[in-house]
Amino acid sequence: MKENVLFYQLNRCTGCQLCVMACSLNRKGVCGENESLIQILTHPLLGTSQPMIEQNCMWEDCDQRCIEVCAPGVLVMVKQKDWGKLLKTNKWNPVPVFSKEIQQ
Amino acid sequence: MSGGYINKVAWIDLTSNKVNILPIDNALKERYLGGRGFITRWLMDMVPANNSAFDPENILIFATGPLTGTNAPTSSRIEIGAIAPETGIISSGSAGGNFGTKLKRAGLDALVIQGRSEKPVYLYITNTGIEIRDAARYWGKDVYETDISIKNDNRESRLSVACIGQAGENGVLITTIMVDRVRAAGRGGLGAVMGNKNLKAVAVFGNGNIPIHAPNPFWIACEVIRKKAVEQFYKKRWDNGTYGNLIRYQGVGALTSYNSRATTFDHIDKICADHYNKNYRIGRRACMNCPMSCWTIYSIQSGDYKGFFGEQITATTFKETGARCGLYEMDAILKAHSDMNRFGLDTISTPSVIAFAMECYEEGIITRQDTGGLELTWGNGRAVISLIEQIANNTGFGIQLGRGVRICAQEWGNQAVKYALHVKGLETVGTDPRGQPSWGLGYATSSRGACHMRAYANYESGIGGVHGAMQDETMIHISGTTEIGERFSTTGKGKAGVFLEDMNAFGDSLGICKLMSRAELGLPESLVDVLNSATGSQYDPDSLYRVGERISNLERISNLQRGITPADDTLPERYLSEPIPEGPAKGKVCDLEPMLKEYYEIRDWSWEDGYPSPEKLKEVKLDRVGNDIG
Repeated sequence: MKENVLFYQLNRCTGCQLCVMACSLNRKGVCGENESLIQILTHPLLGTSQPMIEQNCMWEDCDQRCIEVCAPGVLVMVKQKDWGKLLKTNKWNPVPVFSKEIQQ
Repeated sequence: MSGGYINKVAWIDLTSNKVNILPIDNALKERYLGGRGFITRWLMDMVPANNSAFDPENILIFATGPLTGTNAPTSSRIEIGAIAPETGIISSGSAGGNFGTKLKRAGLDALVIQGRSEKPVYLYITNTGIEIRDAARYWGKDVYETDISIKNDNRESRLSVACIGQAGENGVLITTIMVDRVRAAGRGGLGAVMGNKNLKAVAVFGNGNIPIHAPNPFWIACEVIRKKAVEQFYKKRWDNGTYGNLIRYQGVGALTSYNSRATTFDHIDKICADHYNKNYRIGRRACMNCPMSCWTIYSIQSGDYKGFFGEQITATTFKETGARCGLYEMDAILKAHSDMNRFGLDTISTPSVIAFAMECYEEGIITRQDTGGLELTWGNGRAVISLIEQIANNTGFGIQLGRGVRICAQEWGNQAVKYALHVKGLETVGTDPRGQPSWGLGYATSSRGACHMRAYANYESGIGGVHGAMQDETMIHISGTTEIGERFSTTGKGKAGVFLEDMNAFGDSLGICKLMSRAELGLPESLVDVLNSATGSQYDPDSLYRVGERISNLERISNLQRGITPADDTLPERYLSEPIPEGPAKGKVCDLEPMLKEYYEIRDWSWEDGYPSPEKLKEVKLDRVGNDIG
């Protein structure tokens, strides 16, 4: 498991899914949410969004394109020594993790 | 081409309830790319010029581009087109949201919808196929109710729904098709075309993959564009969406106020971005694949509409429903805007026809007896909201207004035509071309009537400033003159207009947003690497530009076949001969003719019959009746 943890900034994700596209293109050379380890949940009525990651994100090495493409700066990779500091701000949360059967 | 496209188009006949899925011809992709290009080609091929918009033979097309649903910034777009009932000519428009991406993920590049169903239906599209389903339970519902009901009934919140409200069902001519509740496309009455086909909605969810020809080069090419987009536009959109532009038009004396009686609005502080941001905005969101979040969420916290929750405000909201109607109660503007979205009304044409009626009321051309008792005074928010409902439901005074300003003016007589601001039957946008002349040329030559988005000539206020999407040196290069930045000079404006129209034509065909295709980022030099690495095509900037030129010329031929003549490439008389009475552009009229002559010259179109010359036709590989050649 990676030493660093992906955090997201509350109330800042716009739901654009460029992170999803970046991940799927990087992993499988296609554009599509099924191949991406990061997903965006958008409320169908209010339009608010937040990211979540499939558990394999914690093991797969990558060049962190999801962070690079995020214009509002929603995502940040955080070392253990800074976890507490970020959580204390009430502005950042670790990106929730889910699991599903995916093609490796 | 090995990427970008799914290579499948669904041909849907609502008369026979048949669906046929066919591959896309490679020559079609090469010549027309997708989106607006496909729409223009298919309408030319399939709808004879003597067919009206409400004939079952009219086809309604939803077409993505090769970049739709990819990493290319702003590539969420779906282009929707048909022959439009308000104008009688081709109309196509682009909507954001999620629909285009989900359609491609469901395994389709486009839907071509023919015929007319006997009863209300909707299309249900997923990875597993297309179903034509009964929509009786949704008929009569507004756009929001339809969107939510279809999701509820199918227990699938991830659906993206394109649908019509009551206005489209009732055949109102100033309707659009609404996508994801608050995104719109199809000025000129495409909502009524959809209603005429008894098609209430298209609901789509797909989660398949879109292939990319060369993933790593594609990533690099997209990143170049994305970084520039963020650098130039991200903060501006984050802070003020697209509605922040309102102040720019006010500043140059080009903000249509009181139906263009004035070009500055005396209550601008009540309808500007600062006021909205401080008192109403509660969040932001973005269309899929877009780093420039112009989409805001708002709520009204007090007053008559307390608790009201809405989405998606643009400069149009404040220009048309606000300044144009003399309305400066923000609560009423937001409520009216949301109502238009719910009913599926065009948020430009509807306030436009109301403002036109207000001026006719003030001039005594119509009276309280005509309006059903409504006091149509400037800024009467309750009257605006009431009329929106009447127009959508085809009741009361709304029956007349729902046909647009051209027909109203013809019927009302008594100088009403003087106040009817339209070109080719489509209402003008709330930017007054006397204060911003290049917009006047754009209205006059736009292939779908008075639309600002065909040329999107916003460079006049950008030269030497910070607002324009094009850099000074780019516009000088395009127009061939340093005079291009002088607002009231006419030199170079025709040449620039041609280039910008063609640039937007291929941009609309790729599946990207106007925020890109009207700006530096939409130049052919900016986009060829993205396109070629996505699809495996071999375009260079010239050949990509030529696709846009071909589409513009094909739209032109289509318009000529449908009765448009060079005399229709003009502006309402007010803009040509009535000097602005006040403000920064005081005393100005729009000097259209020299710009138009230059435009025709560069286009190589005949001043007499409007047709492209034989040489131009050969260059764009079309014949005089619009067939592909060579």
